[in-house]
Amino acid sequence: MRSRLLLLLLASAFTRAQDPSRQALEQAAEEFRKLTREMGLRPDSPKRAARSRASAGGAWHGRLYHNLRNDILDAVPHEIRQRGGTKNLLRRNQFGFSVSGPVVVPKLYDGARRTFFSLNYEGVRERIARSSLRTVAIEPERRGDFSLTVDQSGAPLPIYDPATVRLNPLYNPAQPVSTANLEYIKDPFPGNRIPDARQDPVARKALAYYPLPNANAGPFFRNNYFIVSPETNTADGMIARLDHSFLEKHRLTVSWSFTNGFGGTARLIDGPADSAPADRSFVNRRGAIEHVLTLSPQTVHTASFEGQTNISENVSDNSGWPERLGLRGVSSGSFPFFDLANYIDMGRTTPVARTARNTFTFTDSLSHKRGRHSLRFFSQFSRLQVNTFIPATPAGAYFFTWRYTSLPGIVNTGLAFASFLLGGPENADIALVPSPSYFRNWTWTGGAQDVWELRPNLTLSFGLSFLAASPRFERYDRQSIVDLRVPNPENGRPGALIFAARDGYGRAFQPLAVKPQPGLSLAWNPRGNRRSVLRLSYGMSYQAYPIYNGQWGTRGFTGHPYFYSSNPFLEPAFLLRDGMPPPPRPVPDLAPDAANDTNANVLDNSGRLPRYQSAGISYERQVRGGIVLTAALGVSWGRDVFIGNNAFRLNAVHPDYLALREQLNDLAWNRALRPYPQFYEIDVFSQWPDGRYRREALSLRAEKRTGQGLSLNLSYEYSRQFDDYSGPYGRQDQFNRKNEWALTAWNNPHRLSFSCMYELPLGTGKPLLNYPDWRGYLAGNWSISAISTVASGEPLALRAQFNNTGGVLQTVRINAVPGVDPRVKKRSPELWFNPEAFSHPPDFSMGAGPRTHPFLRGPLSQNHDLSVAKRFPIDRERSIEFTASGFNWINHANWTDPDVVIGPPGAPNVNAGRIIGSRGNRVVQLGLRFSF
Amino acid sequence: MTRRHWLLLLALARARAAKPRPAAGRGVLRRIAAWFGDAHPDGLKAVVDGREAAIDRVLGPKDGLLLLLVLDLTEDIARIDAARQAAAAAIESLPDHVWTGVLSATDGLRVLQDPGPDRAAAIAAIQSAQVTGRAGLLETIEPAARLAVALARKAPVRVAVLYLTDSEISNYREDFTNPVINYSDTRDLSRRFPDALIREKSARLAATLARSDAPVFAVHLAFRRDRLNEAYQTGLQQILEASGGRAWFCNHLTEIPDAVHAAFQRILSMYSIDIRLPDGLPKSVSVQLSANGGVDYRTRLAAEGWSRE
Repeated sequence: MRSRLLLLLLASAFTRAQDPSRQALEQAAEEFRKLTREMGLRPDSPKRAARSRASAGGAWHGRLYHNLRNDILDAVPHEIRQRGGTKNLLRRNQFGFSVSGPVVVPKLYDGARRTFFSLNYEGVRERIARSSLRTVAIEPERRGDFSLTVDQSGAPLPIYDPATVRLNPLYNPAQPVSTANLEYIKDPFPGNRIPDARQDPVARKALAYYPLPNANAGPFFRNNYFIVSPETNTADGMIARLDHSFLEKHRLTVSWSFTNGFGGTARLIDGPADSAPADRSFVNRRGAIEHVLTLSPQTVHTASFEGQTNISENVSDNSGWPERLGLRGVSSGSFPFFDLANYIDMGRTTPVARTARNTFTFTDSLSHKRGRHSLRFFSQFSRLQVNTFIPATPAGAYFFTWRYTSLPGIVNTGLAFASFLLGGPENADIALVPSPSYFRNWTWTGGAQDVWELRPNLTLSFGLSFLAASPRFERYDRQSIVDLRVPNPENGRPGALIFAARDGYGRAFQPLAVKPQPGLSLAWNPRGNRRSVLRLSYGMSYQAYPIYNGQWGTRGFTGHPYFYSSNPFLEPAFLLRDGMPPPPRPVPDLAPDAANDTNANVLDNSGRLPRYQSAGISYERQVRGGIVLTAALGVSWGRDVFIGNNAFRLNAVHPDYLALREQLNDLAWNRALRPYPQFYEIDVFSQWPDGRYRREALSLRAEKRTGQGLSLNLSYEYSRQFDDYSGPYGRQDQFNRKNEWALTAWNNPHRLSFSCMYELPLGTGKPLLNYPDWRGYLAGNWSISAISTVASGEPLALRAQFNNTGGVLQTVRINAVPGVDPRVKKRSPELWFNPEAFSHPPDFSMGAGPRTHPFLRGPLSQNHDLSVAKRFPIDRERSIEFTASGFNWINHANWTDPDVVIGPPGAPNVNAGRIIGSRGNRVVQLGLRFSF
Repeated sequence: MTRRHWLLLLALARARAAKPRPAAGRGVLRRIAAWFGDAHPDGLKAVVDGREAAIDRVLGPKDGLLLLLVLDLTEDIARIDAARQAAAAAIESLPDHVWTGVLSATDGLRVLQDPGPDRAAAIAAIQSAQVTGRAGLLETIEPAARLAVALARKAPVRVAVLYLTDSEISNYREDFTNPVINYSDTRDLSRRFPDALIREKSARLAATLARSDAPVFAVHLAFRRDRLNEAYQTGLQQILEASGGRAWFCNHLTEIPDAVHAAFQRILSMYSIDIRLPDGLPKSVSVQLSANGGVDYRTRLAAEGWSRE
């Protein structure tokens, strides 16, 4: 028995010994243990070997780089070449370094395997010229001589003397106002010249800072001012990160970054009257810490905290300009803002401002795999602080229109610049802001998600989260709002100012919103074929209450008096020579009627938040050659989307009152017709939840993946998007939203995109040009990247030249002429669409056309970028790479949109339907990078 | 059992173990991974850049295989678990002459389980591996390949490296994403092509791995479509192809079992052929392997392997 057992053991040993594979494997396994010990890959490795940087993730790596752009390398922009220019200044230097690796403090700490750092720095120094083609007053107009001034059809434009206005005894109220039936009579200035003595001294002084024409793009003296001015950009920033693993299951990442920048904007006017945005300085600081704990191989917990601050400050010349111009009643030193309608403005809004946006976010999540379920629980709490000081118009904003110098009620008479020369603004306002505001809010999102592998070829993912959003409140409770349910003490009509934490009101004016956000998706391999995937998805989400920059909603603590003309055809709000009238109320003024006779700030307090939903289906199929084809259909829609003042007018006069015609020009009469007559207008600050949209899209995509160093992407999308709020001119009829439903202003129905990355198969070790000598060094290591986009134009938003509706309508659309095709046989910049197909609606009437045209679109646009890189290896770790990138490298000029303004029959816009410009140029950037 | 039996048994064992190797000739010895499908490479001949080269040794699917399975898993637990299950199933069904060692690539290359006949131990190491940390493939692929090459040189076995990875380019310690540093710099065009850093790293690693005598494979659990990750994934494929291996990318969770299975099958069916390259070749050469029975395999490799330190 004993000898048999021994024999069995021996037979087993013999079998093992005679199996060469096993012997070899045992030899290899022994070598594995030995080598991995020497390489420091095992717990029992010698300490020195364990700290070996080669096995632990390498030594320090990094790069030094410099990118250069210079106008010598670029094509002259098309918009400059059209004006006869031959040069456009560009000097840009971007430089930096990056280094990362294990933290090592000689003799103190060796962080190989455990502690890693990375440090990135980048600096930018740039000057780039910006061009702008605008219209300024011609030299005779500056002197008050409007004898050469013409309208858009080239006919002389008469300027009327407001001092001569009087009632027309022959006026027939039963007939509309016309040149044959005037309600008021005004005499034109003799010779269409405003005498020197009539010109306003403040306007005359301001004109000393207004530029003269220097171009003649036309027509009719228009587009006569072309300025090329440098924009400067200086920035320095750094990102630092420390990554530490400890106790096997823990990882801690700490990061910190900063950037300081200064952006000097391009001037529109040289000197203090510049109307371009103010220069800005930027400061950004960010710090974050993240901890990841592996509780078990199936359970991971992640917690992170991030704090960030963004500070921006506007910087302007603040050296007592109102006083120097003789403009009284203004305490700020900034140049006043004069809005001159079609002519370039003087001065700027928000010349002085400072805002700090601080965000603190805590995120916590737990992932757990149990059976066929992958569960994730998450929670994120964000606290937002916005400390803002933005007196938008500290030296006043003065709006000049054609009406003051027109024949009352007759369009195509009068000129805004003439009204300015007479010093008669139609309306004006001034911001009185004694202190900054400190706004706060928070949001919390929490929920759970499960990915359930129902079958090997079917996965269902579903989740539910909740968004809790707090409304805005102010640290010192210095905020107020007009509540439209509270009667106004002055007239008993609804709408009075209420104040935070006073009179029984809370610190905020909106309720805490809690919203469910469900999501569901499914992935299925039909017939078990893993090369095909069908995906279905649905999701719903909400947008939290925003805090925008600005001190909206602080009326009473801040003042913002508005001054309107009682009838803009007859008299101005006031005369510049008399100065800005004193504010009618002191600041602060915490009375319920403190917002009366101003543009009131109103907030929706129903608890509605913008809701977005989307659903989609896609089919993906992998075919030969590593090519993946995808077809997708998607629909998304939203309601209660936040919209602003151009799309929502709570205090609009009903269009039925257009029948009152010229009476609407009387401010008092007009205000009496408004729902809240104690206010001029109501400002909802882009946060009234009343917009709707719907988007449908079909997309096709072909991808060539990861083969031979080549990656290709080609995608096409056809989409239709409709809404009732977008566009440059807003809603025409506040009371008929259905009539506003039209193509979204930025909808590009056809969009074709192409991108590729290719490591060229040239040089040593590659199939082509595989030279064994120095030629291989030159031929090899080339790569190219390209991105191209072609998109159809956006729908045209046609509009009427004149809005003579007594302020009832914010914008006036056009009418379609029956039987006339708006398309032209051969589209060209000379004629992009047929303006004869449209007509200007009569005074005091709405246009019947849509907000955006259903099929007339702007020109197609395209852009092609290409980057070519050549790498020169120095050794295994070090190399130098040279990059040349061409943006719009084929130097294609994209046409601008055609002129969409339709004039009245007597003065048609000669430019309507024409394209007068193009833009774009090839920009070349050279880069050099040393990697180690 | 007599003393004579003992001696006879030992002599036989020694004789089988000490299989003589062909005498080494001159020139660089390189090992090529090749696949011949169902054909048998009897009378295999090698032609390198048009010149005949000596074949020192051919190891086929029936010879020993040492598979170094490297786990580089840090992201989605659902995908990681699917990969673990698939790898466990594949290891369970491996033939006896295939041994698997398990390593981790997060926080540097580390041994989780030595190669050996105990499959349960390998599976347990895979199942219990940590899933946090930073992605480590780009940092560890070269040491892993060097380890494999060293093993291949010491023992007459086939050696391959297989990565199970869900690495995402922004999860590396070294920053390849070229992040925006100055937010106020609105005209920065240097990030229009953000793939430059990844391409550069990939090209460098591909040049290094082209000298490896052991192929490296990878199953990537999550194909990503953003430009940075596309460049990373393309670069990864390039690196692996340079080493003689390849990558499988999974679009979806359900593709992971098939991809892992395909990777194991590919590795199991691998031939390892030691070729002695003639002298005076360029840096990169084309190799044609041919034999009776329809064997015709072409590949390209660096004429110089890693030094035999």
